[in-house]
Amino acid sequence: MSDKPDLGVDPEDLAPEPMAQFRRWLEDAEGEGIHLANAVALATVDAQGVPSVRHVLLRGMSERGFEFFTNLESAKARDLAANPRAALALLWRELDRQVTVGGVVEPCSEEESDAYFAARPREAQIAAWASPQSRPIRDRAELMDRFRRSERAHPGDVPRPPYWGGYRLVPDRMEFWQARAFRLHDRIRYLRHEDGWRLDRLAP
Amino acid sequence: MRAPTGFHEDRPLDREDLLDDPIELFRRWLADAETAGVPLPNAMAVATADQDGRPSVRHVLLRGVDQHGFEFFTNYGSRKGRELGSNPHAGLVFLWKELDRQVHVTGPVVRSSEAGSDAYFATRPRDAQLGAWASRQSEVLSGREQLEERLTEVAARFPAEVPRPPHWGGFVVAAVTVEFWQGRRHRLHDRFRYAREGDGWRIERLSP
Repeated sequence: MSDKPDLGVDPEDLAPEPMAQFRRWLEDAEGEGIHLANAVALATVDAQGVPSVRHVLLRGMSERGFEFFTNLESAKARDLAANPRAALALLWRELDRQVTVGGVVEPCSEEESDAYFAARPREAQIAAWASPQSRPIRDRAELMDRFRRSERAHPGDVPRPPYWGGYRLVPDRMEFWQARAFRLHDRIRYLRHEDGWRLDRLAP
Repeated sequence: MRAPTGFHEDRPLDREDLLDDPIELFRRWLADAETAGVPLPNAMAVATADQDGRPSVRHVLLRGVDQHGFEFFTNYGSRKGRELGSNPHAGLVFLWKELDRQVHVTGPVVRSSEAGSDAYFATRPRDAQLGAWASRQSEVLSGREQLEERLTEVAARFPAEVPRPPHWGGFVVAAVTVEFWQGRRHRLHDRFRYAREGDGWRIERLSP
């Protein structure tokens, strides 16, 4: 970190709405040429209260929240069915920046899931039919065999599988973290209130 | 996640590439990430949950890994420290984009020994040691000046060696599952999960 400028973040510099601020930082990360700048660690909790976390790609965002798509029978979807609370963390190592988010997920509409599915490459669409996500399989040959069968079953357009769709994480808390010298990082937290967002600086 | 095509090679992960011990395989993958020049290859997202089952997640740096588990250090009064105090379970994930690889880990969490936390704290740069005293991690500040004033105070208080603050130390996540994920073309990723079974590990290939 020592070879980089010590960039400060003050609440006055930030957008009043955290999604607008997030967009600025995501654009900075993309401008920096960071590969997969939209990769996000998604944390869920199972019915016993045990957390787990894996990466997904953010596929959309609006003022309302962050969208991602998955197999609705995957481990994360099973967690979200039992407990819709989720958290996200994005790390842009090249900028010494991190964003963390907490909130509740809601399903995307059927139309939103259809529209996103239709935009995926054909191979990814076929794979969505072929893979019983997170379930044990015998070997790679079984997976390739399923892929070829799904390919034959859908010679033309590939419809969205009924068990595949999107979630939108609606944040109630977002935090912007900028590393600074002496480990005295800047951390600015947005908390949702009835009539908007409150910004606080947190101790690093 | 989708493995980007045309940028990386399509690198398979087969059953015969695995080792009996996931910690050994993890070390090998971490070394591969270091060799590949991944920035901060030891950065990991740590997920915790409060007593009501509300998750939170942030990145920290892995400071050690052995048969006891994955170790990191923090302020015990931070949000993650408080959550681990009431719900001692964590999920971890490493992402090495340049290699299209992820590893995720789940398991129960215990505090590091006092001696282990002392030893690690002593290796930190003086600035970071002072920062650990100056920052009441995750508390609301009136402004950055408040933090800088505290730093000046603690620097005057500890002109020579800086002892470890009592509210600062390590956590160790004892893995009960470890999953190795290798991104492949057409979203046909290779995934293998190790699950603890008695003294050993059961290994399964998972559908991507």
